Amino acid sequence: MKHPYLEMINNREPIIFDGALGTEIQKFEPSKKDFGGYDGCNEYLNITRPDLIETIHCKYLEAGAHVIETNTFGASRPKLEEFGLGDRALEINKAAAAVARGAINKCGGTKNRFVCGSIGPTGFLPSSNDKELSTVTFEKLADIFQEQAQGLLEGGADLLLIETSQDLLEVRAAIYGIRRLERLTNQKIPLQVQITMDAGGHMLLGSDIYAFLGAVQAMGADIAGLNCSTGPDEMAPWIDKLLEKSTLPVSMLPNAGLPCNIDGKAVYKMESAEFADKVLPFVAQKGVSVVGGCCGTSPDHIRALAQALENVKAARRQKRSCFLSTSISGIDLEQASRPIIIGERLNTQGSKKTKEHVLNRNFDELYQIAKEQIDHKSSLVDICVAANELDVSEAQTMGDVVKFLSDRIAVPFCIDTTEPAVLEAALYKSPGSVLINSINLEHGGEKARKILRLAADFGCPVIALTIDDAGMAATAQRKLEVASALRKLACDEFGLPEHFLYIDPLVFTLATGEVHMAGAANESLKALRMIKKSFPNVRTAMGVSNVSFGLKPKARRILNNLMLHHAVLAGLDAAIYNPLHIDDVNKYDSKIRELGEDLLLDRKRDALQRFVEFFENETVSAVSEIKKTTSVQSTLLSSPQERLRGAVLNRDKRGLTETIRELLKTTAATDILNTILLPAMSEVGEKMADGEMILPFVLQAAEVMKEAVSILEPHLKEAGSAAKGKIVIATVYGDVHDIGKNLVASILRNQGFEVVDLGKQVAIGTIVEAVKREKPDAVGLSALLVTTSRQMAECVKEFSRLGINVPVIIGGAAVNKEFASRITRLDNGSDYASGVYYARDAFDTSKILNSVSSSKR
Amino acid sequence: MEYDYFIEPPFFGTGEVLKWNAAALLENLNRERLFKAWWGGGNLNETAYASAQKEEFTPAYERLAACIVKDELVDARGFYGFFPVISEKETVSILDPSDYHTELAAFTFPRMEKSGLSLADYIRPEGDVLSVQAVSIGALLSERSRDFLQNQGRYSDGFYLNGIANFLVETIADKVSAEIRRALGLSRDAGRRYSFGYSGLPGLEEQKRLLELMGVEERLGITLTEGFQMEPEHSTVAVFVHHPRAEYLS
Repeated sequence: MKHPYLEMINNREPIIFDGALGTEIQKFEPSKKDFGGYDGCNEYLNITRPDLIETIHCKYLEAGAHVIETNTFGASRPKLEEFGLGDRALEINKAAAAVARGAINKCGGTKNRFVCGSIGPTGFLPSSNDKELSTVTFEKLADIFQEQAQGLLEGGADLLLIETSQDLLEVRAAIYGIRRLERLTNQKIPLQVQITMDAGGHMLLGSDIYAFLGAVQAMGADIAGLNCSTGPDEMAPWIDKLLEKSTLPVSMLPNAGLPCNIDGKAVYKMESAEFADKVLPFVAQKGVSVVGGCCGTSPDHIRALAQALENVKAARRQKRSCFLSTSISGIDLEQASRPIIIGERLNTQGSKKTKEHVLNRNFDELYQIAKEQIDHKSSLVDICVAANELDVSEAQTMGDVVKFLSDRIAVPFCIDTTEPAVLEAALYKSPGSVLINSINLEHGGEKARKILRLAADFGCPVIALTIDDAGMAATAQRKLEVASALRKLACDEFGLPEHFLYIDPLVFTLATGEVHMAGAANESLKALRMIKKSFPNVRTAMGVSNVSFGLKPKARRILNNLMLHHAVLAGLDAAIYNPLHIDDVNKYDSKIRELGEDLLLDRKRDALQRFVEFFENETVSAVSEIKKTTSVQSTLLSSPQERLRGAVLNRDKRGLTETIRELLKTTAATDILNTILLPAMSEVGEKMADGEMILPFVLQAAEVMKEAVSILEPHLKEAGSAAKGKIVIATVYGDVHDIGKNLVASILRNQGFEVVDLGKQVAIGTIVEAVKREKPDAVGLSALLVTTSRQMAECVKEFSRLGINVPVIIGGAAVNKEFASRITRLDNGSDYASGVYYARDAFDTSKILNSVSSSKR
Repeated sequence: MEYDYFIEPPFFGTGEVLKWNAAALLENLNRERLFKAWWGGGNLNETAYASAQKEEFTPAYERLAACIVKDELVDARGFYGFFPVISEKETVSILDPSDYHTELAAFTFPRMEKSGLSLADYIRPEGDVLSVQAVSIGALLSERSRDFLQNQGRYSDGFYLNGIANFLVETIADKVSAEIRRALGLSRDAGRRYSFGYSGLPGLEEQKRLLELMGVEERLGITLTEGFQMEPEHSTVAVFVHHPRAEYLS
């Protein structure tokens, strides 16, 4: 007997959660008396003002919510202990659930209504290396969550929600503790787990969606989702990923957009109508099962959402796969990263060597050729054995080759033939599924039909060329038309799933020099885009190297890679290509790239001539030495932009002057600074945050930066570039430890900020004077010790007293986010208007500085 | 708590100032610990550390160590001493060695909530010996580090020098603790060294009295800032508790 909550999800009935609770409580302006002496502990209101909480629950129920969350977000023992209420955790959770249950009894009506026990984070970060926050054990955490769950269930919760989680280890401890409780009490409770992610798809400690799924799916969560931190727009790509990758139903409780900073307060601006509009498609089109609102939402938002979802069913989630294999192993083409490379060398019509081996039946040699392509990361191997000189029939040969290779290589085959008999021979010998290359609509599609019959019977995806009785489609429009006809035939008539159809819009060579063919590549790229737009579930393929047929090998390589690059951007899924010749086009010298793209994209009339001429010169001998490499090396084809970026990232000052001199020929100094150097330092910051770069290396990168900037200095003065922002920085009075501050100052300077360093043991009076004089965008204060960090509070107070309004950024071993919040509160109960921010390191500081500088402008 | 030991220090009061040769210190220093604990190498995985140690850390260390020796940036000195003490509950009183009676100073060692222990418990109430020690490497190394960072744009060298400074202080503090153990006839790992300001110890404000008693200003040139921090920055002052059960409290 399935739990009614899960039953609803099963029946694709959208479930609506309530919205924000904290703000609704604030609207009532609870007094000191209401808090019963525990000022600010919202959870205690369950004990002292249950009527207030019940009213809020009822508002949401009346707005149409199916589920109301208990007022227990901060009701875990450690969180309550901050108020001295730790020992009453069980009591408070039970009371909260009872209040919610009472609300449903009172205002729930006849609809399906549920009490959801809300379990928020404890504040511990067990998987971090933070000295204080990681000291809790897994078992202790499990106990904490078990206790909270027990209270909630005893009070009448129908399901439990672990939400806004920041640390996956804590989440697992929560699931563990709750499951333990289930065993003890012999009951099963639907468990919904939601983490919070930034707009870039990362949790606080860096985990992504896959880490989330790995943490919770197998451990028995019933529903997985996201809440808080972002609005529906920013959350979208990660919800899409969840829908794609997870087998669990998905929940989505976004904020009402991203907050604006208005007078130091966070204000959410997204109104209810817009909110509902944005959330609706996730349910109706994509298949999200549970929706609701987090920060910034109100009963109005929920009402709008409920109205939008009336009579709407959650869409069915599509789980698409396309498995191909040999006797040994296989892959799912749907999961393979784009472009899927189909190694093209095992083709008697394209390779002399292959033809020789096929005719002589040297199957071992064929195996070597296949293996080489696989070593260079082909996902599939194309096999074509057509030759007039064959003694034995092509069909027989194909069957023999397929059988020979099938239990020797793990990479699946792409059977290259338009003859049904040859295909059949391959299929009779292959223990795994293959990709069929290809069909087209010549002769009214007669052969195509035979091939499609085999494809349908054997479950094979098919490459389909845009050729019909009018010939090979040359224009994008014609390519689309034939593609449409192909789709109709393969999918509508033969029932092939759309994602099994790989349309090849053909690409013609640009080497003929014929004027009317100069736009051939453009037409193919346009066709790819149009096909993807019209038939989003259909896949695409292309024999890319056709574009350079007739040119010399070095020239072919460049043009092929450029075509591959642009085709992937236009929506190419699979490419028939020689994997040994794949380059990263971003590493091409800008001259060569320009010439190649002029030809490819038909940008200049004499593009072909100039391209061919370039390769006649001896200096281009280095082109053949292009190695597939991931590290940034200074090769002939490395552009000066790449070299400068590499100098910062690899902490290498050598040749800096020459590189910059070369860049100054084509790029303005301010552009060099803003588009190459500063982003490179940003990247360094990200690598430091990811743990990829340790501090001394970060500092060395900053040294390179400093050197580069000093070389640019004379040119920058001419342009009159302004600093990104200005900060006055100091180690507070009584404190001599300034290494941290000095490191931060060094890095900030090399990120384009102006830093006024007042030194160490700086009295507040001196700081005030400096602020008046320098008018900075922010003040940075550092202190090592708890005792000296008190100076920070005094400084904030003094600023306030004197009417100074500048954001304060604090750092140092003794302080943290909580401390920053605490010292924002002034003696008279109001908040320091410009705000106090905690920064972990220089890059944190620059992020904060950027946001306060820009909001000023 | 048992106090079945008999400790007789070689003298009461403070002993002579010891000096260490900077070149010798740098030569024999535990480089792996420096690279990993102070230079950020501890955040690298095995392979990355191996290559960083070879290509980055070792050459940088050799270059900077040579510079420290050449410019005489390290003046490593220290001393230790012994005082008669008594304890009652959380308070430890230091008595005048000349009469075992006049209280020279009293310090409170807060009782820890979790363990219920106070460092005062490690002192025999009726009478015991408390060892003290102070070390410094002088101010020049930290000044050079600051100069690199603020004026010369040699950020990583400044960072590395700061790490060497911190590690050197720790190293010579260890050496002095070893002298104390030798002087009291203790085994190599017996007893613990504690500095004010840490968990279970008096706050930094109380250092003043201890420093006066020890005469650190006259002997090592160490003074306290208004925030009760030591100058030169790379100095430490500690009490050494010899009780066999002495632990770090949290």
